[in-house]
Amino acid sequence: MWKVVVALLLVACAGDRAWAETPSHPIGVLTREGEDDTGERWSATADYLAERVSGHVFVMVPLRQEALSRAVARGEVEFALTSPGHYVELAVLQGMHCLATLQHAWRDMLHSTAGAAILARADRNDIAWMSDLKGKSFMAVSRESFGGFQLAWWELRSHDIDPFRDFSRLVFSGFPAERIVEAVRDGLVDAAAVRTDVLERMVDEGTVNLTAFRVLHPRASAQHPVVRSTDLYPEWAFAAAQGVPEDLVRRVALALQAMPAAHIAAQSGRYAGWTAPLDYQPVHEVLRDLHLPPYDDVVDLTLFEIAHRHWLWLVGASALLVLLIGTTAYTLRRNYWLKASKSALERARTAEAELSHVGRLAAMGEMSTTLAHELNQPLTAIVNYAKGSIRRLEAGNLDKEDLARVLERIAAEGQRSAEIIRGLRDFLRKRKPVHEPADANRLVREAVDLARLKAHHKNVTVRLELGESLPPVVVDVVQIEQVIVNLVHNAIEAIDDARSPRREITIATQRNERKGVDVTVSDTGPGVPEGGVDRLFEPFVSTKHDGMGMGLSISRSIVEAHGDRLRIVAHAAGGAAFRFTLPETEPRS
Amino acid sequence: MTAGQVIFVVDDDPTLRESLCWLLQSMNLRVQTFGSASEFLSAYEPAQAGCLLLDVRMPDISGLQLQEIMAARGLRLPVIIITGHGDVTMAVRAMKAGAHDFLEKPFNDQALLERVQQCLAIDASRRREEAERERIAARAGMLTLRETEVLDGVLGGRSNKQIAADLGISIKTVEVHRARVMEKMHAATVGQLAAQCVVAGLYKAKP
Repeated sequence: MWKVVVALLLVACAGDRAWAETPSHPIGVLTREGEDDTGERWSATADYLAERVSGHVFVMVPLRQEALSRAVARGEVEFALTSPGHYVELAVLQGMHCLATLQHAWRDMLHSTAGAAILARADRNDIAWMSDLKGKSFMAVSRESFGGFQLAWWELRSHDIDPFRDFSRLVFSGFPAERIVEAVRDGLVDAAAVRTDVLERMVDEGTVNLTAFRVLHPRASAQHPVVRSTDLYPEWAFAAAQGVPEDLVRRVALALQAMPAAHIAAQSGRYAGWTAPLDYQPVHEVLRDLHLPPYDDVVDLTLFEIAHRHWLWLVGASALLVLLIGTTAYTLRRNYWLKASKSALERARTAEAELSHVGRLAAMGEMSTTLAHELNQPLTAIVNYAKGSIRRLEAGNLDKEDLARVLERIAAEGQRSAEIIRGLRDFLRKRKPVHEPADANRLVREAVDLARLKAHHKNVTVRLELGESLPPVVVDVVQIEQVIVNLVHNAIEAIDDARSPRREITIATQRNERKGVDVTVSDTGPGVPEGGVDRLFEPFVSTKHDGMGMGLSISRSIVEAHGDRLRIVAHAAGGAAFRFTLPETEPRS
Repeated sequence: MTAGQVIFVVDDDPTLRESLCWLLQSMNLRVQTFGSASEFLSAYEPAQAGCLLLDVRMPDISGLQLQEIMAARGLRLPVIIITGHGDVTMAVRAMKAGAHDFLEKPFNDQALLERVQQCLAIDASRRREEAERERIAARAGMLTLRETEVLDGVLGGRSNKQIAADLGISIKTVEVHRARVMEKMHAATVGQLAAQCVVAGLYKAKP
């Protein structure tokens, strides 16, 4: 904690620099016992980020594993640069996500993976196989190190060796890991585990000769020629905490991935640039198998372990089970065929539902992307013209004729945008034929699923108040889901922009007396400003930066195509509430 | 920012081009616009300082291709790439190709101004360095062969006596040459001389 504060103070002290007011972002970087140069090593990376992500400053804060976890949990660091094992822990427990995976270079090849090698001296003929390791002394860097110990542990386990039970001595040496290789060479321990890059580095420096060692259970590949005893796993991760602004996250990810392998920041950090985040799933699996954090309290015991711990209970339970099985077997056999056919039917139905869901998602994505792309040109021009005029006005050098000309242009670009939207409305109207009977509640649930991620991201709760025994409605499911997603997205953004203390969206369905089902989307945002109601439905007003927003204008068109109007209704909680009706019969076109 | 700097805008959409010109001019910047990469290439004089605002998606020669051509021709004008919304892949490629920064349409005018100013500052300092390097190289070019040898000796940290021995000439002669070198290079101290030679890349570490 104090380290974060000190680092931030240091940044604040550099007050006379141009970036005095620019936001500074602490990056927690994992450091271990014996690693003294962590801060120095990574500071050039922070400088690189500051240079590439203009308007922001980054500070590297070296922290021990536990301290780093704490700092993330308390929101003291926004980013973390840490080992694959620790990253996975932060991902599960703190919701961090990886922006880039570290790359290193060896003999002109770039790698973003590493494994572990289990070593013994080449002249130790008594250690040729993994099984020979039982009863021997063994060294690794630290119990917490993923590449330096846990990977080897996992591999040893698959050879029936428990490092904590089967070795005569298990020594954790601490960093730097080079001393482990030296210890094996000098005969201080019988065998040891090291990360592959430790060997690579020592071979390059000429400190060791690979032929002096034997790698147990060896494997290698053309892509990764250093011999190792385990599979390859992703390298260190650069991760962002939850709640860090999307734009910043994206720019940092971009900057990292654009770093050339030979960049000075990479050189002084002893790495070779960054690659798009790799899949850390295999790391999850190793940690899960070993019951290590974040899976240390997961009840995922193997049968053997259960038997070992609770053998008495097991015997009793087994006896009971045998009895039960005997009595039920007869009944079960009679029901077997009936059940089998039933479950097959169920599975088919689920698969079908999933398929249509995916299809809808694709259709929506396509439409909104097109719209965002097409509208971008005129919008950009309008913004430029307007901002240019404002600047001139403020500077007092706005020529009247120039202004008239620019306003003409703005109007023309407005027209161009309106035409794009009109084209899209036509498109929506043309692909009309798919009015089908649907369950309004199911429709709402599916739409909310589509918006759930964003709600979660912005910390907004979505509540459903679904009416019971509603009649089926006849609608274009794709379009109506789109309207709901759109309204929910708008509501999330309204709540987020206004920093409302209550962050809740309610979607209600209710049968009305006009042969239809009312769908109401209400929020706890700032509400619709008076007189702003008409403006709301204009194109542009609601085009959102996330590309998903089709604008209330489109929503209105869809609802109108279903024979109704999108209405703003009074909302007790003070936020905005939009309502539309889904018809029980097909609308007349 | 120096007065002579020009913001070059290359975009195939005439309205966008013009609106950008209007906006940049309101920031008291000099602007030249081009409808295509080839128009820009045929008009641009490398001596012209400034920076380039480049649309990444254009028919014929794309923004990325233009970046490549500029790199091949040694045109080191700082580039800001303009991308469509959410076009992260393109932005990454442009940044890898050496673009200084990127802006997503539609952009915030303040962000635009800041990035443009950054690029102009980078271009100006690069040009200053280059001019300085050329000036020093020109001075160094006026040294005679003997003077260059003496210069090498001085930069190598050798005393007049040692240089005299190295070159087989008298100490007096070395002193004369040395004074000439200092004069021609406009250096008051050996420190200044060394600094100049480092800037101009004349100072090569002896193996």
